[in-house]
This record gives sequence, structure tokens and C-alpha cells, in this order.
Amino acid sequence: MKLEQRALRFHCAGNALIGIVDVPERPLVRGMLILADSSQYRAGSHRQFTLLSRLLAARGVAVMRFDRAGAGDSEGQAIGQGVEDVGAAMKEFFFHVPEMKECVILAPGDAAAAAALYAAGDTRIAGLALLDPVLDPLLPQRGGGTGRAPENTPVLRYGPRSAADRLFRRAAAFRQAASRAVGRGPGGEAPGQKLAPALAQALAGFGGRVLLVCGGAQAPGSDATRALVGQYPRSRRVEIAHAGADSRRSAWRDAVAFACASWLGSW
Amino acid sequence: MNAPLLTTPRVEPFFFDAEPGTRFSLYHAPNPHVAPRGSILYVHPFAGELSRTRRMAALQSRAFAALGYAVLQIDLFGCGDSCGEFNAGRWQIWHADLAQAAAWLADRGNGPLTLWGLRLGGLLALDAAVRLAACRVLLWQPYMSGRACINQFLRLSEQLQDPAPGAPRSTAALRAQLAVHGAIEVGGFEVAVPLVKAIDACDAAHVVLPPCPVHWFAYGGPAPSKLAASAARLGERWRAAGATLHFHPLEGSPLWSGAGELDCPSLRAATCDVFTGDPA
Repeated sequence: MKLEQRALRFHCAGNALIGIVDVPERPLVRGMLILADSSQYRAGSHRQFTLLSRLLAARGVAVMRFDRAGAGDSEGQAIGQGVEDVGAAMKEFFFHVPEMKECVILAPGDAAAAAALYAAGDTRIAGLALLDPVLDPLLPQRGGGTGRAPENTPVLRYGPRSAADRLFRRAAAFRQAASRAVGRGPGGEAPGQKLAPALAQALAGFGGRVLLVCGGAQAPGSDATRALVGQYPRSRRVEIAHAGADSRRSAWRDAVAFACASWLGSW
Repeated sequence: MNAPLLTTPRVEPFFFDAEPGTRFSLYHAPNPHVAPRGSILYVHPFAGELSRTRRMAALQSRAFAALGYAVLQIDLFGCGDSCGEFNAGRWQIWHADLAQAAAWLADRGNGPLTLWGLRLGGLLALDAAVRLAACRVLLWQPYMSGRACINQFLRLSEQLQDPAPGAPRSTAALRAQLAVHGAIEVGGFEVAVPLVKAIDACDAAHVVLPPCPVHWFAYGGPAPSKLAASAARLGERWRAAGATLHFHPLEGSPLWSGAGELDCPSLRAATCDVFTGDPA
């Protein structure tokens, strides 16, 4: 399918923000907004967002990516907790693709928090795709899929698990869910991060679908997706083997693109 | 309250047609309240360094625009938001992109052209200076030899971390692998042999410069005297062609390769100091 790329300049609080929208010839009703995290700009550290946009646009999904205030090419100062710039981008996106009715947000690393906060207040957001999310803004942050795990990190074991192992995980997840239901924090049995209260609230209020893609470059202890995955009946968790030093970034890129594309068309 | 209507936008992003495909560009209009001072074409660095230094380049471009310069940032073929895969990038295509961008700036009548290059972009700017009839060249921490740039790029290879026996242990081994396979991927960037050959062959000592001033800003790192000596040597060489070198050493050693964002405020401040006056 033919696609048209448009370079956008739009304003938020008097600052010019820069973005790119890839518009397919016949756009589907569901588009995607890509939110870069603090370690990279709208193209991605190894152009992964540029390439992902083109791949999805060729399949009919309109994709917009932009630099948030105070990042990349955009003007202004970074907004602490606010998501006004995301709102401005959404307005611009829907203006450029009138066929679009709803949208998902793709957010890597520490952008997951902003994506969830914004999604809670906008009914047009049908889903969140979180790549290696860092869900506690107080923790030291590393870019999703951009850093390299430190040497002392034990290598994650991917692949099929034994039945006993699955059963144990189920039990742990159930215990966690139960402890949440009675109002205590998640127990310490499963690795996971504590969610910031505002974020937990935002996620609780989000009724859309969630895709969790993990296995980029996170240490196992900081894998927040396990804490999340039990919470949402409508979430899908995809692990991409990225352990070991011989993994090629482009293979990871293609796997993420495939996971996003198949998830986008799954409802 | 409505935002004021901007009659002349400060910044204008656009795509333009080039051969092959399209290129993304960002034009920073000069400050209308000061006298126009010419145009600046920014040449971005190689591979991952482009993404890391994006913010720094944007801040400096805005500073130049405020001083009265018209600034154009272009994403070369296969880089940033421009079309093409990175492995299809070629030195000649990049030269053609810069020529087209310089012509676009000249059409707008913005005055004499300054080429501003960062890292490998600095070497590309030096290489293109004659063809683009540049009136000034500004270098930020440039690679003075393309070979050094490729070696630094290969050092980031994930393969060097591979504990398996038989895995490559040096950039020489990676170069051998590149020669055999025709391409090699490092940190998500795949480069092909023709581009590597062209970059390897480019050396600041052998470029032909027009008779123009060259401003070279660089961090001395652990051996500032060594850098100053090599700058002096290059200055001697270039003087024969009529180019004058102004070397501006800075203290410190920022880490150019790696992950995450990189900003060097001292580099931006030093550049603004020189360009606020009347640089040669």
C-alpha cells in the first residue's frame, strides 16, 4: 500500500513540537501513536520507530511519532508529570487522519507511565503497547531496549517451562491478586516493581487492551510486566528472547514489529 | 486564551524529494529582529551518535537562529526520519543530499554558507566544502580519519562481548567478517562494504579545502597536548590551500559512544561565544 509521510509542527503551551505522521492510502480505523522515552527521540535510538511506522503504515495503520516538549527537536522544557503535549499530538493526529476512530499508544521504557496516565483520560485510546516498561518513575531509569544489561545479571531463561513451574507461577499470581483484592500491596514472592500510586490508579481506570513486550534489556528484578499481567484480563504478554550477547538488534526490532502488528489486528 | 498567530514560524519541518526517495529536513528561520548573518547547514554524525546528539544539535540550531543565522538540519539518506535502510547509505548519496540542501538554502538568499559538522559529519563537511563553496566550516569533535570512526563504531559490536570461542575479539576480526559477508550489524545499524570503504578512504589530511576559515571545537580528553599537536599539523597542511584553522580546545572528555542522550553545554556555550562576535 502506498503511504504518505507528513512532517508536522504543532503547538503546546506556545512551544513548537515536531512530529511525523505516516498516512496509508486507505487507513484503518485504528492508528498508533508512538511515545519515545527519555533516552531517545522520535526516530528511536537505532531508527526502530521510523522503521516500525513504515512497516505498520504499509499494512494500513496510520502511525504518528513526535518529540515531547523539551525532547529531540521540540521546543520548551520537559513537563514533569503532565501529558498536555500528548493531547496536542493526538489532536494533530486525528486532524491529519480523519478516517481514524481510535488509537493505541506504543511506549517504551519510562514512557509507559505517561502513556497510561494519558490513556486513562481519553476514551479514544483503545490499547497500550508497553515495551520493557519502567513503571516506577522513582527508580533509576534505563532506556527500553537501548541499554545493555550489566555483567552480573543472571541470564533470563526463555522457552518452555515445566508444568510444575507453571503451576507455581499460577499460584504466585493468584496469591498476588488475592493480596491486592484485600487491599495489601503485592507480596514479595514474585519479582516486580511497586507501581506509583497515581499510575496504579490510571491503569486501574484504563479499560482498553494492554500488550506487554519484554525481554529487551531489563534486569529480571526490574521486570514490571509480571506485576501487571495478572491485573488485566485483556492483556497479552510477549517475551522476546534478547538474552545473551549475540542477539542482533534488528532481530529484536522485527520481532517487536511483528508482535505489535499481530496484536493490533487481534480485536 | 488563543496563542498568538505566528506569521513567520520559527521552525519548519518538511520532506523533500531527492534521489532516491525523500529526505526529512528542519529549517530554523533566522531571528527577524537582528541583521541576517548567513546560512548554516548541519551535517549530523554517524549511526547511533545521531540519535544521542539530536537534542544538542536542536538547541544549538535554535541558538544560531536567534543570532540571525538561517539553519537547515537534514537527515541524510538512510538516517533519522529520511527514507531508506541504513545499510543502503552511501558516501556519494550523502554528498548529493548535502548539495541539494545547500542549493535550497542558497535559493532562499540567506547569504554565505557555513557547514557545521559533528563527529563524522565534520569529516563529511570538510570533504564537501569545496563542492558546496562553503565560506566557513565549523567542526564539533570531528573524526579526522574515517578509519577511526569505523573502528569506534565496530568497538560497540555486541559480538565482542560474546564469550563463545571463535567469536571475534578485535575490530580487525570484525572487519574480516565484514569483508566476507559484505555487511555487518552493530547496535542495530547494518553497514555495507561500499560505505565502509568510502569512509575509510576519507582523511582530513588529504581533503582539498577551499580558502576559508575552519573553526574546530574539541574536548582534549586525557591528552589535550596530543590533540593540539595534531590540530597544528593539520592547520599547516590546510594553510597551503589558503584555509585557516582556528582551534578551540575544551576541557573534559564526554563519552560520545554509548546509550542515552548526550548534551555538552560547554561546547554550545563556546560556539555561541565565537559566533556572537564576528567569526572569521
